[in-house]
Amino acid sequence: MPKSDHLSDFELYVMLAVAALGTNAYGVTITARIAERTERDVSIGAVYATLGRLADKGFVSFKLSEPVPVRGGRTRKLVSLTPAGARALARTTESLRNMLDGVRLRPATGKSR
Amino acid sequence: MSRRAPIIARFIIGAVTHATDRAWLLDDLDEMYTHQVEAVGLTRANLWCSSQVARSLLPLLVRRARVTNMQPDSKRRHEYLNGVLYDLRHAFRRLLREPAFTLAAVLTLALGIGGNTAVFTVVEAVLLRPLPYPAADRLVIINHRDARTGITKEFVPFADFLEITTRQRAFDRIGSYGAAAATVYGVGDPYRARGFYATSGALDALGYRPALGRSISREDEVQGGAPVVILGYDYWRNRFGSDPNVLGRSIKVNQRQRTIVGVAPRGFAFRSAEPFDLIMPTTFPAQAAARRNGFTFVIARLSNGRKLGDAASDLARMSRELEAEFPESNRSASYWPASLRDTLVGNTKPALILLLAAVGVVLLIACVNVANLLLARSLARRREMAVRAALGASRARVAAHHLAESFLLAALGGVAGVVIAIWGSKALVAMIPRSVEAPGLSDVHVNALVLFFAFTLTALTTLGFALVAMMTTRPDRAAAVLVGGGRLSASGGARRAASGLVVAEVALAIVLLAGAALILRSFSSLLSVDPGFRYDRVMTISISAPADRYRDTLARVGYYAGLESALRAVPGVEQIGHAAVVPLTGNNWTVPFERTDQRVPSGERPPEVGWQLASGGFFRTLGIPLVAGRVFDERDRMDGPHVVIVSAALAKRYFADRPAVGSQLALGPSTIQIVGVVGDIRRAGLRDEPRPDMYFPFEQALPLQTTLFIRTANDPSLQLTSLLTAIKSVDAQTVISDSQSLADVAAESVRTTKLVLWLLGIFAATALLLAGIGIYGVMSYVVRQRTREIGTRVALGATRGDILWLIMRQGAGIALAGAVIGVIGGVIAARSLTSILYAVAPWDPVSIGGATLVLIVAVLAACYVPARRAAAVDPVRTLAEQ
Repeated sequence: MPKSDHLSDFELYVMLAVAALGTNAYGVTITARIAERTERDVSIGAVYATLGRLADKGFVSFKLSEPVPVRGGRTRKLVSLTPAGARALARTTESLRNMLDGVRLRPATGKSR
Repeated sequence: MSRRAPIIARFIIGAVTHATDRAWLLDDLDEMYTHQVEAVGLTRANLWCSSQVARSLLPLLVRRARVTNMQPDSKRRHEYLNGVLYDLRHAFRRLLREPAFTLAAVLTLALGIGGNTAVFTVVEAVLLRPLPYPAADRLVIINHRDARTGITKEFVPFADFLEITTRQRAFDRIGSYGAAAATVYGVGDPYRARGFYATSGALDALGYRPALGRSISREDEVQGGAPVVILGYDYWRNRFGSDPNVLGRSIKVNQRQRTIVGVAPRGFAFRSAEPFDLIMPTTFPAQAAARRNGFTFVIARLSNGRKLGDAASDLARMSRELEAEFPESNRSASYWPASLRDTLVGNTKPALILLLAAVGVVLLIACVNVANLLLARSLARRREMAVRAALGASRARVAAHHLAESFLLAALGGVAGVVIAIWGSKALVAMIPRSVEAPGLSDVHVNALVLFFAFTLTALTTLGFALVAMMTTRPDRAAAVLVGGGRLSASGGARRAASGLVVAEVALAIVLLAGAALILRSFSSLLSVDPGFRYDRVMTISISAPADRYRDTLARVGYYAGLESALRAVPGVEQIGHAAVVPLTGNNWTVPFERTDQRVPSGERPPEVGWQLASGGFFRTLGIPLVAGRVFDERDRMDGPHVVIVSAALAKRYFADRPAVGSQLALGPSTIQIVGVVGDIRRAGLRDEPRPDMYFPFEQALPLQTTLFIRTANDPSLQLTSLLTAIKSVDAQTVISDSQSLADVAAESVRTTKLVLWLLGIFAATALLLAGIGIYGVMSYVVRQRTREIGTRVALGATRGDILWLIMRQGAGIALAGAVIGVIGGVIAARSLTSILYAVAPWDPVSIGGATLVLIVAVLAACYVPARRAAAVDPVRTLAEQ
């Protein structure tokens, strides 16, 4: 049961990463994508904690992958958006876009924090 | 190739991550670490890893806390306390839901556990608790047995004691001791003190350590040496104000001035409930005295590593040597050791062990009953258990479930049982005879050992119940139960188990009932035994006259005459007598004698008979009949010819050829004349057959100490005060040491039997009740199970009588099976009663048959109620319901 539709920025990043990664979304890839796109140092622990929170809200669900086709290959806990999660993501990005409309941003100088 | 992240990183992450995510997170960490190593090398990968760990800690911990909080209560507890608490709570709620069952089970168990714990509390205090002497398990008392009289006693002649001391090889300490009251003068009022006479060897054996001054030394034991005395701690504190300068002072004890040389340690006592006031040395003549002149008690301590058996064979060897060397004094005499513990506890030991066994049987019956209740209940819950099993509950889960319930029942029963034990053990102690000297008896309480005992009992019952419950609900049979549809009838196995339990119950109850019946018969025979004298309405008062005032004969004659007239003046006093020994107190003193006209050939030992010092009034007071001649009277004076009265048994045995009255007896150097023959009495105890006895005239001895026997018109205890006042009126300095009615003395002598009778009676009644309840429960269950069958039978024409008979027959079968086993068990068990039984054989058919009959009647009565219910079954309703 989603308690609220509100997403923190890190939750938004994680959900966006899950949406982008499609069927290959799991701990490692999510962490890598956020780190790569935001140039932030992302900790795997933070990603897991956030995924857990999102699962509590009903925005993501987990399923186990087939074992990786190598010797002793591991299974992965794959993440996907639930319909509720997809709706929440759409709403949040929509509001974000609406808010950004008409805002003039200065060109970024240097690294963002 | 994949790598693993450093172990420390994995450990920290693993520790803070909630279990649901742990494995995945660690795998992901490894994967990323592998990438890092490939991309930037090992060192930088490790740096990266440490930063990962550091920054993961907080979010993971927060997450973990949230997850834990969100889980439902039961699940969380389950995880944390391994399900134990959960099972207990569940079991508790279920027991609360069935208060009748719970109450019945807990009360039954409380009775069983409480009874056992109460008896064990006393067993612990009397039989198990160490005696308060160092190396107490090595202490022995030396006993003397005379093969000709068959009398065993603890007296050892002084001469033999000295011989044994020098010849023995089994003991490292040996000494003589004896207790005697002594009068102390000069310290306040004359005081009748508890005195203890001992040699240094006896005190050493007891591990005596003086609180002040010294112990008794070897020099103190020589007759004619400087008389010394050691003060008891409490006496020193109360009479001398704990004065440390008391050493060297002298006090007058009886007729002698004695120098105080020491103070005993606090509470020092031996074979007496109260600590001694005075300890004095036993003294021996410097030269070997005439053999058989004076007796003493002997205590010895086994050398390290020696056993009681070694001492027994050593004493047997010495007995043979002494018999060969001194045939005149030692013919047929033998010595043997008894452990101090056995001596102190006496015949209470078999009684207590018997009671422990009996109360154990009660617990068994109680357990059987509760097991039966559980069985009936678990049969009703078989479907629930089957559903649990079908849903995946493992056998261990189901077992834990039963264990929790059994534990709760047993624990509640155990706690209630300990409460019963605290109360019950006090009541028990009050019933133990005063002759039992075990020091622990004054301090019987529920201690750690007793609690451990109760706890063990509880644990065993718990396990037993869980097993019973498990037997009927096997998860592997779940399918059968579920497929069997709604019918919840007992399986053949379970029903047989229930019947088997009741058979066991009936058998055990018969064993107890038979035991109680045997004791009851013994007790009534003991009470109806004719002791040869009448003990009703007689008060016994032990007195001692102040020695320094009545040193000469005339003064004593006057004193006793005054006493006589003062007591006669008390209203209601009918007869007055004197004697040295109170009958029925186990006294076994003997004296050797020979007929002057039939001297014992030299080298042979003369026969020995019991003796008593008595006045003529003693025979009248106790109603001992005069068979021939006369009793002592004013003709028998100190300066007159020595006379004696013999018992009928003595006259019959030693004077078969001529009348005893008028004959002469030789006692050592003196000659005495028989003036009378009186009836036989049981002198030492009610169980003893009357033995030949000899009575010396009190009138010719006039000892300073005597026991008065006063027959009154009414209950003598009501007149005790006026009697004591009368005694004091003659001489206020007279010390009164003991007073007891003779009826109380007689009751005291059968107290062990009475104790066993009471307890066994209570246990047997409980067993009977429980067995009745047990069979009632099983038969009610059977009737419920067979209601449909009974309905069908009635519909097909069975009469009420047929149905009644059908059910009663089943109950009778159980009762008979139990009776057969019980009778066999009863006969075997009764053999352990032999030492307590009196005038009844252990296989006494009346007792065992009676017990069986009572039980069968009780069982049939218990069956009758359910049988009537069965007979009242309405076929129309019963069949329609199906």
